[in-house]
Amino acid sequence: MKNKLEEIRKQRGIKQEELATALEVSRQTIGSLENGRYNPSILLAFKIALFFDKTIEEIFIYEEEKPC
Amino acid sequence: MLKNRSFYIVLLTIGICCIGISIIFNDAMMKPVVGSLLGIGAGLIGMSLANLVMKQLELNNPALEKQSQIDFHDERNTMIRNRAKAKAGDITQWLIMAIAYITILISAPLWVTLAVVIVFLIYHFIGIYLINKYQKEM
Repeated sequence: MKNKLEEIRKQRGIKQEELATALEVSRQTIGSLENGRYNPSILLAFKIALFFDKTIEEIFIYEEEKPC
Repeated sequence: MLKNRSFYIVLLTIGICCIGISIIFNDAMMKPVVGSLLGIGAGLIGMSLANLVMKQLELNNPALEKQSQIDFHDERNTMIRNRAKAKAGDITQWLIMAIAYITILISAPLWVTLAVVIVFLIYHFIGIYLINKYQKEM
């Protein structure tokens, strides 16, 4: 799953630490989300969407896995 | 996450009592019990003192306490912790079986081998019980 979290966060001029504090998660979690190393739970995805006043689909892009 | 201070004070007291009892009953007949009590006592004292110091640091610095709570409840950290515990459990089960084979190779008494195999079986029964429990819950 891809996401536009870093792009949206930078557009709003928010630091990773500030976003982490607002969402009550660690800064490392924000970093991992932005790098695509970690996919959030549905609850965290909703919290992020609510924080930026956007829908989940506007931030997270679902990509179907290709069959091997 | 760190528990209440009183919890660690109780553990510290138990640790001191264990060491006290091991000193009072220190004779050749009670050597294995004394050794165990000393080990348990030292472990409890070390663990509870370290946690009490951390608790005091958090009391002096509320921001540190808030951050440690966030870090503990953070979903990624929780997932990492659970995955690490599961992996450690998987590795441990094979180590237990390796110990069982070693006890056979060194011709240890049968009860030792059986005890190790029973631990291995208990591990699997607990696993099956928890899978069933979580399947009902989720």
